[in-house]
Amino acid sequence: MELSRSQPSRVQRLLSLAALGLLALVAALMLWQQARYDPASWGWGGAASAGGAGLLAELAIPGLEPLGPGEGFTPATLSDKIDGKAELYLAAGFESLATRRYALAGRSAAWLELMLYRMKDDRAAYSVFSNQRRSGAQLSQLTPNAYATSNALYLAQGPWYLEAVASTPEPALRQGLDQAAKALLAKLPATSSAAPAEADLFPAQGMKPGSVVLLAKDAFGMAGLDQIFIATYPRGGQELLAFLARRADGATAQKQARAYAAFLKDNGGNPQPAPADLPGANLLEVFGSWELFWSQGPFLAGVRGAEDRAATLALAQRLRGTLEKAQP
Amino acid sequence: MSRDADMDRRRFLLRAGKAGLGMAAIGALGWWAHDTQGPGAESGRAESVKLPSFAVAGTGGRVAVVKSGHRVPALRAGLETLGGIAAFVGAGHKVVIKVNAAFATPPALGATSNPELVAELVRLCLKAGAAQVVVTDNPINDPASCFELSGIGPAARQAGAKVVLPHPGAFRPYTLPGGRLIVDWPLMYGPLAGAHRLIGLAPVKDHHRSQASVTMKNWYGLLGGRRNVFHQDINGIISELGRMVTPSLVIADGVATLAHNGPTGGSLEDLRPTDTMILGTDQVAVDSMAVGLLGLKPAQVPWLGLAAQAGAGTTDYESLNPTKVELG
Repeated sequence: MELSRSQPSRVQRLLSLAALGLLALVAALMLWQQARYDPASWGWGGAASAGGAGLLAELAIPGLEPLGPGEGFTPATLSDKIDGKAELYLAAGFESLATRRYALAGRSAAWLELMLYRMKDDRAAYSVFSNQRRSGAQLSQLTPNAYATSNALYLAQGPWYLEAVASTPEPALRQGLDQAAKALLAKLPATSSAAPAEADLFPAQGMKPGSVVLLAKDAFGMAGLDQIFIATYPRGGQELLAFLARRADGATAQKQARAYAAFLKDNGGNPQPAPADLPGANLLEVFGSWELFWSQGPFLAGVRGAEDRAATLALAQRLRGTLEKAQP
Repeated sequence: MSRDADMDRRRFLLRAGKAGLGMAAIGALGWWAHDTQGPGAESGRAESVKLPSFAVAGTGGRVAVVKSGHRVPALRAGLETLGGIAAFVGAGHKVVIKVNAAFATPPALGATSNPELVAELVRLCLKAGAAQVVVTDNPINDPASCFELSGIGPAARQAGAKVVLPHPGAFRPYTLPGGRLIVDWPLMYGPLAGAHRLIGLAPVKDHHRSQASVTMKNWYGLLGGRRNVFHQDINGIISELGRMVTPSLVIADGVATLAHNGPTGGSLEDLRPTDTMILGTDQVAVDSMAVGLLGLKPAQVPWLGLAAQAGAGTTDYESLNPTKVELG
């Protein structure tokens, strides 16, 4: 057989050139994209990019200019932004955080920062919103769960929780907070913005306004006592705390009531006979204050922390009444 | 007939040899680039350091409490009570002021050391004859933004200090003798090298994880690496920080206390006027007094007890007969 060095055909040559050209185009696109890299658009990881970073990157707020690029944080990096407060968000179900600062046009010293948290669901967002609610703040009409303080605005909308904080309480920045929140809400997917249903089950009379809080995890120091709603009732210089949680079924609620009684007993609680008008309830005296709780259908409910036994019992009866109405 | 059919043994061996050489070259390149050591501590392979005591002989157990709504007069009065700045700073000294510049937030929010207070302390040290005053911290957020937006950087520079931001060369491995957590950990030693005095200046803050953040927690800003792992044992790490640093003086600024939603706060309503500044050479005693501004007793704050047990100071601050000054 004759030996000959074969030459590529015209088709092969064209195909090779096309492949090389495509590779060159990909490299050029990568270089171009990298040159205009904006961390706000990409975040620091998958979770961040799936969150609000993109929303902030394209947010236009009248009268405000972005003060540099945004930042994104994942569960692994959240503490790089908020240090020890990260635990509150992580326990509730944090997915990502996107932040960006904006300044008043022409005044870089007058700025505000938007911190948009993406939580795993509506309840998780409500939990971090309610846990940090500032007393005495002004209710905002932006969403059912929104309020403003002298320099900040906070709201929960579906699985999103927004903190908008201004560097000073000057009116132009406060207006900027409002406009920023409105612009952002217009971009968020339409979802439920109401508080979880349990928040409406507390007796309204005597309740401190805006005091309903959802404790996402390990409420009252007991591991596994999760998703507990609390509400505060001021009375004669002290505060009574009512709590409730809806469980999957009555058996689960009963089991958790027993577990909570055992937990309190292990921590110095002194069991007392159940009040006659609350049969089946657990009553414990814990270092001078009373804990009264029970299961009622799928609900675990109770009153805690008060030194006044009669007041504890009275609030417990009212709570039991509202839960009776709530059961199907 | 296909081109492969033209291949004879000689050409096959030639091509196979070239391919083999190519693969061998790539393998050799990979082997050459391979790091057999793997990633080490972020301080690299630098030599580990020991942290000297910065305590000033003859000043042990001094504590002063100044009641005032104004920081600068409170600082002056407090220092005067402790024997004057000259009792701590002498001619030719290099003084390091470890501030809390953890967050890129405005000074009004009280999450960081107050810039006016930092500036006054710098001026007093220089006036006492210090050859150099260094203001430093390794913040949680981006260091340059933290120092600028908190106002600490501009204020310190204007007062004559050198502001030192963290950089890779500043960190050296450090092991706390008998330590459980701080073992071969990157310590921001650069600013401390050659220093004669170390002063801690921290705001009094609520802290979601540790209940309170005062002067001992402030040393957290001398650590590098992925220090957020320490949040899982927050009481342990704060007590070790108290053992790690023996300062010349610590100052707890409770003129306004970040009483809610710490350590970041966010709303001006998170602050409460408490009109108190506590200065002293026993950091456990100073912090034990300071947590009272948050409505806590030392016994309720586990890291205080741990630090006292470890010999870092005393929680029984009254035993030191603190000098109390009330400014009009």
